[in-house]
Amino acid sequence: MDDTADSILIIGAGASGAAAAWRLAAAGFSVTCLEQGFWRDQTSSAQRFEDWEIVRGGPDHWSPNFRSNLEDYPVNDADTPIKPVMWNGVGGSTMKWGAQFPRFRPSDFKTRSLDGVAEDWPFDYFDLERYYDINDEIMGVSGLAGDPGNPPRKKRPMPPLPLGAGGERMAKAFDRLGWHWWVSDVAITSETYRGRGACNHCGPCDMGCPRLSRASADITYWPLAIAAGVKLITGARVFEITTGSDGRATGAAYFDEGGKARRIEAGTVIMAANGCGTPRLMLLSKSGKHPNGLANGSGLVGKRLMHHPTGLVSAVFPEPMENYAGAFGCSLLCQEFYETRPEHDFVRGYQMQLLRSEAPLTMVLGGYLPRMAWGAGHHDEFLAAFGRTASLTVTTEDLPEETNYIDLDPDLKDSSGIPAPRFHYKVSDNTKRMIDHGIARATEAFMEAGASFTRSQSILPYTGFHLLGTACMGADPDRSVVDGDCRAHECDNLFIIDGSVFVTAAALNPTPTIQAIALRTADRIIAARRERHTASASTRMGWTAERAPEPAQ
Amino acid sequence: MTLTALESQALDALLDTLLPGGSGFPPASAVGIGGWLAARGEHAQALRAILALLPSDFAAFDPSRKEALVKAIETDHPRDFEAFVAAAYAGYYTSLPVLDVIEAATGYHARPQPFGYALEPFDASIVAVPAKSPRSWRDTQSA
Repeated sequence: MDDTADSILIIGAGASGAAAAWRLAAAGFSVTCLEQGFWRDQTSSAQRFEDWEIVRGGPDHWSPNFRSNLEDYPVNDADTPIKPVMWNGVGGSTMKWGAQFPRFRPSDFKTRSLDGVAEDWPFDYFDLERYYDINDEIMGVSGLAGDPGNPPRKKRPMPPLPLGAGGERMAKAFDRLGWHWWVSDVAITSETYRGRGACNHCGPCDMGCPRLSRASADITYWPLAIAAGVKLITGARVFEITTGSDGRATGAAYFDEGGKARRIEAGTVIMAANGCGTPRLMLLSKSGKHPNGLANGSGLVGKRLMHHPTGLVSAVFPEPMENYAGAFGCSLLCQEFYETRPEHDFVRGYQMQLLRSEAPLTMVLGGYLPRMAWGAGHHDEFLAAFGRTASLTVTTEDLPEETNYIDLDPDLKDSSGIPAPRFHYKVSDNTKRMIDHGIARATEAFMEAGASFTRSQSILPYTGFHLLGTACMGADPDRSVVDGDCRAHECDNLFIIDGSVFVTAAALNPTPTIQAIALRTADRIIAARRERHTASASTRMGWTAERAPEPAQ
Repeated sequence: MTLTALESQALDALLDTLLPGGSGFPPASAVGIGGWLAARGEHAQALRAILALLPSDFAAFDPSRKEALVKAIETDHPRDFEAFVAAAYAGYYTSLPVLDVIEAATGYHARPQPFGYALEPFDASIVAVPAKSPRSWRDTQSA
């Protein structure tokens, strides 16, 4: 790889790494991405077979601790009630997600100014708006513009997915209660889109999508990025971000697919290994200029870990609804209690996201409902519940606390001998009060909708999908790791573009915002390069005064 | 895992106590769940643990005595019992005969792909009420 300022190394091929790789390569940079996992063929996903639920509970579990694939690294999650879940490979955790695709709201970027808690972001919703738009086109969003609960946005690339019987029932219940709801923006095709098939509503999106309807970074950004010249190296397990005597990043050291240690050099390094993988690597990358870990003079790398603590209310309805049909996590959301209200005993708020019914084995094992009782009544109980359930998440905004953090486990290591991450996390009292409120409201909504039974769960354990805040953004180098352009304060050629940089968490699925930030950061890098007005032999296309190209329609 | 004849009988009797059949569903033994469990190494520990708790003549017990014993195992050995129940449910609810019953009763497909399901297209009239709501996002451009 060319050792010039225009060579860029990205660590991680997930949602943010893919977006930045495309944007930078399309502008003329020479981009290489290292990914410890591999490509996965979604057309051979397990839901073509009758034992797919067993696969989901074992080798394709959301948690790396259950999967234990070679490319996974273990996570010490003993000291957290919310277990981190993630997937290592091309596409990252978008290979396992449900594709609910909301934008943050403007207030999510201004919690200090508006509500007196946490800090404001260095930029706001309106700075990200055009990047949300670009991202929506590339990922392929189905939804409906016109929601008064959010700033106006362009017509969605595709119309909404069907709500199904459960969604329509809850929509009408919310209307009767006077609570605001709207159709979810989802990264799932409702019609054929850029060569991807329309969703056929099979249900388990998290198992991968054989029709390529559910977006993931491997089938959206990566083809564009590779066409633009990005070199993607899989099976590359990075164990250190290397730095020079001046403390600037020089590249990375990694084990290749055969286990051989290699080094790669770059002029700019971009971390995109998620809110766990990124701080882990930074803490592993100590040096003379970075004695506490890479760019960790503030001591905040790994700290201010935020999740989306999630409660759940599940309901059974007396009538058959066939509510197993449809994308399991995508129909509508209620943001009635999203903003801070003086009458609440908590600050900030939550969303309620409607979930569909579970598949048979998942239901009887006790997911949304208790484990189904054995014995004489078992089969009637099954028939009375199956396909007749719905659930509402209570997805809360977690506020940053330095006592919630990730560090390196002194004993646990991955298969390459690299120290594993260790989580330390407690749910705050504010969050607990918020969840209690949300459970009461969700229960009220289900009773309004005619449910015959409800069951609530306060903190779901395997909901650590959103790993945020562990290398936060800010203007003060003593109180943040990166600046408003996601450039590390202490290492001017190091950028971080994943959820690590989040100042606050909002109460919404973060991937669209992560990707928008990645695109914005890429444009900042491009703009800085353009201002230098120097030619470079390492760029593929050469430099012009043009902006990076918009996605083709 | 190889089972003796007595063990197989006891296992089938236990499985039929958990999943007796009815309402169109077959009993667990009729769909070979015992053999399925014995053939899968990941369930060997759960299987051995539960078989060790069953008397060899369990299959000859009358139904109420079987149920009482199973409840006692559930109370006194919860971890082993839950592991076994999970394994039994896994075998039962991924067996094609059972999935066929579920499909006939509810329309659910044993294999979600390749056919999926037909759903009525989205009808925008459903948002008539929320579309008229006042703005509820806080404008931060002056904050």
